[in-house]
Amino acid sequence: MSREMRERRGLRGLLKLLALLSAFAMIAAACGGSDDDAADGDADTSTEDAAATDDEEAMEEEEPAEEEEAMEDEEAMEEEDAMADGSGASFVSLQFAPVEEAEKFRAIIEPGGLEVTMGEEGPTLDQITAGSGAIDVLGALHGSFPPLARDGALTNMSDVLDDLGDRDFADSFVESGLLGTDDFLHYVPWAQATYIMAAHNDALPYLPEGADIDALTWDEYASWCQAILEGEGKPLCGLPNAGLFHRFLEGYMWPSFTGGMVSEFRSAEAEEMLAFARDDLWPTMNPESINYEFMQEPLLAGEVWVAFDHVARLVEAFSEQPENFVGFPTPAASAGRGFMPVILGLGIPADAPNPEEAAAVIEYLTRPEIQAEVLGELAFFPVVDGVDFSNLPEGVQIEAEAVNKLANSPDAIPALLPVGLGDRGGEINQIFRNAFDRVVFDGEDIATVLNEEGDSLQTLLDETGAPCWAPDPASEGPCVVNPAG
Amino acid sequence: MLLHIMTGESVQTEDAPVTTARRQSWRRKMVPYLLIAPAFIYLAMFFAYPMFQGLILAIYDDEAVLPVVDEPTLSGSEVGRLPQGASIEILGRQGNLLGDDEGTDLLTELWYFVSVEQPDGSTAEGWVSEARVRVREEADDGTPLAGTIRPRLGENADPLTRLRVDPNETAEVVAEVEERAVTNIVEVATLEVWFQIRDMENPDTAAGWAPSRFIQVFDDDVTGRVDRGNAGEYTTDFITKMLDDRFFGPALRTTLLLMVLIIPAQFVLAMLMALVIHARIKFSSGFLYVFSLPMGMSDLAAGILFFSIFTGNGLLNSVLQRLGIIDSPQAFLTAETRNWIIAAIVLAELWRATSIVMVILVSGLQAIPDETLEAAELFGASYWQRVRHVMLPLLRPSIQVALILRTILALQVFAVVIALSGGDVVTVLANETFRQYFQLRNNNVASAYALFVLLLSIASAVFYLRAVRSESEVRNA
Repeated sequence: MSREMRERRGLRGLLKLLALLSAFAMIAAACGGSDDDAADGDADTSTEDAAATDDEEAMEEEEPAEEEEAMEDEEAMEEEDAMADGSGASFVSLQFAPVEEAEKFRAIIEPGGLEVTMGEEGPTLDQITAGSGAIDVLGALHGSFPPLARDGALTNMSDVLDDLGDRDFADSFVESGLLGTDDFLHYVPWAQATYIMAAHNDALPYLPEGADIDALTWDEYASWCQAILEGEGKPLCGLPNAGLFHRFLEGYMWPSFTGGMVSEFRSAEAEEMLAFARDDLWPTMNPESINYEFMQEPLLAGEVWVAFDHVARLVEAFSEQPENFVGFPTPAASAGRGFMPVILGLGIPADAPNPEEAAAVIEYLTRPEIQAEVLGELAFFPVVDGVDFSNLPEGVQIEAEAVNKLANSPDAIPALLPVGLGDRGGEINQIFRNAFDRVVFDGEDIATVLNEEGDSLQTLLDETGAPCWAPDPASEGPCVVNPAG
Repeated sequence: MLLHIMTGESVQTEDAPVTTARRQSWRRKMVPYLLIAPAFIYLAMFFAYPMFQGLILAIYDDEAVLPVVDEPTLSGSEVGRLPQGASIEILGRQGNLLGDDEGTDLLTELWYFVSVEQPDGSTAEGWVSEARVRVREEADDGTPLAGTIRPRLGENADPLTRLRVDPNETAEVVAEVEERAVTNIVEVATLEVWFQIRDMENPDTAAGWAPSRFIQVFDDDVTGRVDRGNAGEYTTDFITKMLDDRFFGPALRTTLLLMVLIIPAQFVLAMLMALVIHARIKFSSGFLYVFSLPMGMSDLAAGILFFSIFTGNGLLNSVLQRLGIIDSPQAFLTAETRNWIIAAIVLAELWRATSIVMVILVSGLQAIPDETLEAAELFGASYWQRVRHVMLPLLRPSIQVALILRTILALQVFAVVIALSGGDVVTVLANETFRQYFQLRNNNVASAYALFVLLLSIASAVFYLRAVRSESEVRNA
């Protein structure tokens, strides 16, 4: 046998060895790392490791058992300890996710020893529904809870609320947390907010004659913007078209003109309203509104003088230049002054690993002084009584007055966030946006658009079985979109 | 299995030397496959399987139908099927008592038989739903022993809690107790609740029983709907929904338009850049670095950068104003000026992603032997002739790769569009997938969009593989 051949055979042997090794690796991977009888030196140590972890696990299993016994002895004390500290809880918030807000919020809860993770809505809800058992407290908008309730993924919070007996929660918010049930509270109210208007002082001289800024009508609002456009040569009114614009339609336009949100979706009043939006309102708006997400930015940049947005998305304009901006209620039309209160809630997933710690987090967040800090820093309003309003930053003070005027105006129509649509709550927003976009941007026929989108709305309501919510009159079965006219 | 083949085969090799050569060549061919097998397994487990699971959502509705059975037990025989969302008449209701050891995957109700001391000193006894009692004391095994009546929440709620004669919402009321009353829990019953239902649209169909978790009962207690099914069905509903989506047409049109506008322009630019670098003039490696700088930037950042150029108070407007071309700032990114938005997207994409094409072309150019180009030069070919008749044909494989890569990337354009148009006025397919999943929480339709994008990618890749072939490939085909 020549040397060359021997070498080649050696090479082949090496290859065979490699192939064998990779085959082993495959088998090991396929068996999911279970013990195989590979007789190499590692086997001993790995069994030792396994034994060691077994022991540790056993010890860990024993410890909680002892703790439980101790707990039964000193149950009251244990409960007090748990109430004082929520540091072991994993708290995921879908709210305050923008970096700056998250920092402010972290600073507020840090003295309580709490930590928070900012989550994305979709993945977080999927995680909870899938029963990951990794989240103790979920802080989110009202609308995030119905999909979880549908899957039975939440704990009944009535006991937690009961333990917070010293806090006086606004009844209407507790009612929202019931999601239409009798005795299953899905979340403890956390904070509330709504939408108001903001205007630069330079815009005020253009106000139509005789108009009261605290009781504007939509017509006056449009002629005000028209006057600014004519006087300044450019449109200086703006809407958050890339932001929460659907709330503008659901909670402000439709209720103000039709008195309802869903039932009068395609009424004659709605047709008039869309014609008004197309012919009178939108032409006076800054066309770059399609890119506005937070109106405080164009307000501060001077691109926009008059704006509508969520209080938390206007607050920077008010707090950075309190002398330049005024806050005032949203306009009214024939049916009244539609406005949409927004509620944040705190819920505990059914499979939360530390429910006691979770309750402590909720206790901390609903303390009046913490609620006051959230209001001052983040412009989300308290849901409990006894919050000290005297030391508010100037910007928040302006907003608080505007919100107060809006909620207490005699013609106010509170329009609730859609309820009962389960995980399809996003679709209703798209339907309202479609109606506006198709008429105003694409120039389609109003009656056709309202009829088609009204049909999609009815399909959505039928498929989810959602009964009507305020301001629409209550219904027994799914809410009905009245026929056109 | 593999081991078997290998060992068995090696034994045979010694026994039958005649076939050794053939077997050796077979074995030599096998080795690379064995070496690559772990990678295949990895791809299958972490790529192909999840992708398949995701894409199946586009055509499979796992809650489509609800089978109803002839009696309220899991072992009942099926008498009919109702589609999800069907309006139903509620004919009956039954709670089946479950023993301790019986497991069930159905939704259960827990009822307590309680004794409560009334304010007048008497003791009230009856069944009450677990939702009404807060358990405060448990036995070691977790059995509830005592608790208090939960207060009723809500503005219009009746503050009293009713105790019933049987563990059933409709059973006769035996007593009413105050909130927070101290309660002894005597017995616990786990119920699995079933409803007898009939399809309202087809009243001729037989009535059947279905577990409560799949039924939504309306407030009148006699009508309701099938909230969801527990059996799946293949369906084209999601595909239809995608095709009917208001954004589908515009998204497809914009995506294709962007491909048509971006890819040729990118190729010309990338070719020029590659030739500049290949010319080996001074600082040519410096050019390479400068050209590839934008590659390091995320597409969202590029989008925001171009937004700041095109926005009302942006760079473009201030430059134009200073040059005296326009008097007041023009709004480019609006619903009325969608062509400008498209133009801005094209420019941003050109700026951001041309360099990846350039890198591929440069490496292709470097693989062309200098001798070939020198020979062409000797025969008197001009620079243009060399590019047209020598370089481009030899670059075919690189061009193929670059085209496939670029087209797939063009189908993924997303963040730039969001940054420049807000995502409503001008939209692309990737944005619609995002909208369906994140905003509308509609995984199935999102999956249909993803499937559609995948099919487009495959189709374009196949097209390029066939269209941009070298002559030898064409001959062999």
